[in-house]
Amino acid sequence: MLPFLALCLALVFLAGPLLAAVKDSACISCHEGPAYRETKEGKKEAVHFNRQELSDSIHKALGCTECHTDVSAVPHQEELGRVDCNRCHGEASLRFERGVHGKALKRGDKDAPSCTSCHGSHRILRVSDQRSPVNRANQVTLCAKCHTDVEMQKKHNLPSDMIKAYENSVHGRFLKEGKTVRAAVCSDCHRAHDILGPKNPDSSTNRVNIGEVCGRCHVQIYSEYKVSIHGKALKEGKMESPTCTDCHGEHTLTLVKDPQARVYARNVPTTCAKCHENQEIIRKYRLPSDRYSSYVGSFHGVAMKYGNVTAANCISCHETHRILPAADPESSVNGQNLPRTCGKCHPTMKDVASIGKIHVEARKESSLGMYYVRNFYTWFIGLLMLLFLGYIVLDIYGRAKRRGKGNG
Amino acid sequence: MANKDDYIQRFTVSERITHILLFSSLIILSITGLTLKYHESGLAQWIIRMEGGVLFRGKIHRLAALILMGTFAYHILSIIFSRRAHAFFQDMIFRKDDLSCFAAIFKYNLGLQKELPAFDRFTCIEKFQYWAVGIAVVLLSASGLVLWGETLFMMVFPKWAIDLNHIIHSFEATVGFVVLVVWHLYNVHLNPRVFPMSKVWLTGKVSKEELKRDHPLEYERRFGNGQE
Repeated sequence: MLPFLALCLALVFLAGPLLAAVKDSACISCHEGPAYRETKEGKKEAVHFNRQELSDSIHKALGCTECHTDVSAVPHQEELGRVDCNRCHGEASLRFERGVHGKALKRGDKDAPSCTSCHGSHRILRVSDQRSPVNRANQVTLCAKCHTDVEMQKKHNLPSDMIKAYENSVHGRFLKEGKTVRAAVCSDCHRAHDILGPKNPDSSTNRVNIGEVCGRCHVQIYSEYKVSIHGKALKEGKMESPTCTDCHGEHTLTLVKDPQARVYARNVPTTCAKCHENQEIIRKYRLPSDRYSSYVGSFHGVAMKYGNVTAANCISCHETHRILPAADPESSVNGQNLPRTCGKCHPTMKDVASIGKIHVEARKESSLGMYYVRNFYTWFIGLLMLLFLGYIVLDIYGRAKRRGKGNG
Repeated sequence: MANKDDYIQRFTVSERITHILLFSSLIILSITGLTLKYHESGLAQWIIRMEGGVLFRGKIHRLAALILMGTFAYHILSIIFSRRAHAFFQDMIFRKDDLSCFAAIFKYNLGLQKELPAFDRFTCIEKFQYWAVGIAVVLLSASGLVLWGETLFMMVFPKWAIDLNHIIHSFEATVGFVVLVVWHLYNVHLNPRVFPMSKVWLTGKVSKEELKRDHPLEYERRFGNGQE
């Protein structure tokens, strides 16, 4: 140990003053050996550098002081500053500072990740390199390191179930199967550097922006959604209007075929009913009421309830993503298009001139005939029951009375 | 034991078979139909599972409907072509005195009237049951056929006609069910006079005594004035 330190000192004394900048060889001369520093607690901490680490790093051509800028002489001061990636990666740094992680770091939060927490320090690999922790294949594991930590969740009030839900989601399963291109990973939706909370209007996961985020991969679906009544309403600032995640779920999203999915044929009516049976929303936007109840009581609704998933549900007629108001001549439920829409399942209906009201509530205002026939029968059956029961009671009474007389 | 001559044939074999086909198909139709009408109740859901699911339930319902309609058609044909059935039908037609018959039964049971009116072959109660079921079968068969071929039907009629038809089918079935279960079953099973049941639907026979008691006018026509 002593001879080594002596050598270091000798080198510094000899070479230091002669050179304007510190050469890598000078750094290595100490840090490739067992150099250490004392921490505040008095423990020895290795500040060992392994040349091997740099060999496949994207930064291997850089000299030590290009990042460790505060080293101007050897030996250097005991405490070095944090490496500032901003010098070269200005845009990424700027974005990072805007995000929740960057803000937390600025606040001095010890748990907040910095550049190196995700990208590594000396062995920084290209994002496209399969070995990089931020590569699509490894990203979820990287984020999970903090986001599945129960202590961390409690301390910072983080959602607890999202990684697990993601792993079971269709994206998570694709990832597991190695279909990394098809699987959306954390940064695809949350962005890489400027990660923001969903309430922030600039956030990629804010209600208003989610469509666009999903639409980056699901191009066709997004183009349909954009022109739909839901897509337009959300754009107009009607925040209750559903976006992708309201029907498909966020981290939980599964394939349509999955019976657990909110968009599985059998679950579609209840998913739509969440808003379309919500009296507050119905009143606020003057939506037609009883859409769900009139469906559930119909043949389609009953058949669906008992597991006949080929029966029509909401989206069979109203379309899936391109839902348009009935007044729109383009709408699948516009009177003129109904024969074609019904004709999807009932081929003979294609040539029918007009079909008429589909959601029938048997109310006085909307379906007068049905209302009266139903009321007539309800009263008639009630009256019949009364007459029959009255007859039976009377019959038994008369019989008992006559028998009493006969005996007496 | 009573002599063979003490009994008369009230229902022929063919009439008894008609009755059995009628009530068995109606029972199946009621079970499969009412469970659909009240599909939200837990009991109905259990029954539908027992019936083999909602689609198979429909098949059972339609098969039973075919049996019912066949039975009905047979009955109509026999009314037209068989002398006996024709007379049976004519005896079923409501007459003026059937109105006062209901009032008389009412008074009799309240003790305001000593005797029941003298009934002929069919009492007003029996006629009421016959016609209530008859009308229900006609309405239910017609509306049921529309529901069966709703796509074809809708090529000609608007959807509100289908919806109306649906309501009629559902409620008319309830009417028929109430008439049969509350009214008919009381009269032929639970009524203390016949309890546990009148066996005439199996044997087709009634004793002369019963005939004289329940249908004195018919007895008179058959055997003359029996009074000694």
